[in-house]
Amino acid sequence: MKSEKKHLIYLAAGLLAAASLPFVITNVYYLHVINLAGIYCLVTVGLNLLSGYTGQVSMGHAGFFAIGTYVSALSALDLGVPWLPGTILAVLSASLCGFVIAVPAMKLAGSYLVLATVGFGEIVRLVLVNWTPVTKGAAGLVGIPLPNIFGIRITSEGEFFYLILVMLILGAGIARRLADSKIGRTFIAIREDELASRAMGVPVDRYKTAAFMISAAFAGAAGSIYGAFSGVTSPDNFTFDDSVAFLCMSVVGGSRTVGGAVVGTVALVSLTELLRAFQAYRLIVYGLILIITVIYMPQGLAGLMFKKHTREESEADS
Amino acid sequence: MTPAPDALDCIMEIRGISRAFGGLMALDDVSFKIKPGTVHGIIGPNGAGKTTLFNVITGMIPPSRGEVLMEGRPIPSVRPEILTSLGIARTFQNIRLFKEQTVLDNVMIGQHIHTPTPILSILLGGRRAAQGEAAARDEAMRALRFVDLGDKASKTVSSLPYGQQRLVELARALAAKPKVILLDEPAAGMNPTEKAHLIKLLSILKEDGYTIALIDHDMKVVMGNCDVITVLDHGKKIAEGTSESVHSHPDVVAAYLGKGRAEVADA
Ligand SMILES: Nc1ncnc2c1ncn2[C@@H]1O[C@H](COP(=O)(O)OP(=O)(O)OP(=O)(O)O)[C@@H](O)[C@H]1O
Ligand SMILES: [Mg+2]
Repeated sequence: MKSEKKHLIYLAAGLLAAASLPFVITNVYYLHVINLAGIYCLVTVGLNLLSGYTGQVSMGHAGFFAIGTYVSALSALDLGVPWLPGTILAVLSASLCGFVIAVPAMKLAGSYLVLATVGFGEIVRLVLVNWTPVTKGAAGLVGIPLPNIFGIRITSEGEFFYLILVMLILGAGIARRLADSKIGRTFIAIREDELASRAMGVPVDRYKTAAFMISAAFAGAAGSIYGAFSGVTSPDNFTFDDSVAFLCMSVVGGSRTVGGAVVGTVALVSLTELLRAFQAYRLIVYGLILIITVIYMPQGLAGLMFKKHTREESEADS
Repeated sequence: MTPAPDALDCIMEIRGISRAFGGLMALDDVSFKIKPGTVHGIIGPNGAGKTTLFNVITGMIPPSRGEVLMEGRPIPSVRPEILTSLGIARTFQNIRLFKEQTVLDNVMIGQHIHTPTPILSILLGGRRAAQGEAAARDEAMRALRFVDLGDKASKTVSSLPYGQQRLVELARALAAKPKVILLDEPAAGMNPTEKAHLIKLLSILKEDGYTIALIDHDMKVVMGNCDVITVLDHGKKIAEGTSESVHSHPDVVAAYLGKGRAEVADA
């Protein structure tokens, strides 16, 4: 109970610190990077539920992200759908695709599943490039309208910051609730031993499907804000590299916690910014960090940060 | 935790089960019945097909021929996830726990089909979700205390010694509230004290009305505690009966000869 209280205090302090960021950081460019990181966080939080918790590694999350972006942007551009309902459409479409990709996932395991998700990401990108009448092809979409939520227009970086923060809090909250529930426990059991889970009565296929759909929904929501935030978008934003980057953020932060997704994303986005000059080598840098993470801190940065805490706990109950 | 005693004289029936792996007949037309409320031993030398039999019963491997009936109804093959709802739970010869989870979480998974999954309440942090969790936790703790591991609930399960992990698997199976429990070499890797403890637990479970199918190599575990013993060798049933009758059966003695007559004589 005591640690729960401490947790709440940390959480409140963290939120307060986060909410005051736009006042501290007046440089618009930095704020822009932070906003992007926030959007990516939403993707990796969802990715963690799928890959970290359920053990279904996806290297195609840029595909779900793209679907969210395009569905929301196109419904705004072509049909005049406002951002909020557009986001709901984006979430629904992405999770529908999550459902579709879950079908082969039930039959495939390990590296075969990874390949299937890579294929999915590529198919989405190819559709975006080639379905020119709708997606405008490689040129992409321009003039994606700014969000207007019940009359509140989101225009500046600062306003976007708060919108993204609200989305992230909501997303992380949902993820935490799921992770700490029977559902999260069952996800982990599937990751640890699928057959034993089945033997204990877990409908594994249904849970895997749910994990794909939930995870895709997060990416869809992130995509919707991403389009509106950027104003323009094109298939180049949703490549295999981006999928790999999401997975790196997840693993580096610690894929088995919700907080790890946030830590990893912020860490890697900051690093990418610091190494702007080496942009072309981004994936090499990510790869190196990934290897170091896997070898030296399998629980990720978050695991490292909370290590002391858990050690105290395990000492206390032994 | 007490399943109603069954009126049938047979709770589970293995009917003409065969299973080939390539040219190897791992199970060859095996039939027998398990009576409710009994401890039914299944013994046989290495590679006799004991584990394969459990895998067939639990739908993890489809049989080449034959069927298994639970309370008179055929168990559909290759659908292990419906087993617990039929009243069957099992443990594994090569322990299959959810390694990174706590002991308690492992056992709570055993509760899966008995607890609700109120999605809305989970998302809203509502009372139904909390109550469901509390009930599942209580039930799991009961199973854990039964195997004397109540104080290990918050440990990561892989940190437990081997013998205790076997007991966690038993607790997980019990949490599924089965009528029939299939135990695949539950005493393997246990020291004599742990074995004695396990045997005591099995006799309590029997008193409580559970039906137990028990595979074991350890003759001491099997001989003293089983009402009926089925002996398999090279996939065939070679003998069946009480400890005494099986023990002196010439085919059984011969089957175990490869491993040394002493092992049988010892028991
Ligand atoms: N999945 C499989 N694929 C191929 N062969 C298998 C498979 N499972 C079991 N076998 C073979 O079937 C035979 C019976 O194996 P099984 O595991 O059922 O024996 P067992 O009686 O449990 O032996 P042990 O006492 O060593 O556990 C063995 O020869 C084994 O190699
Ligand atoms: Mg075996």
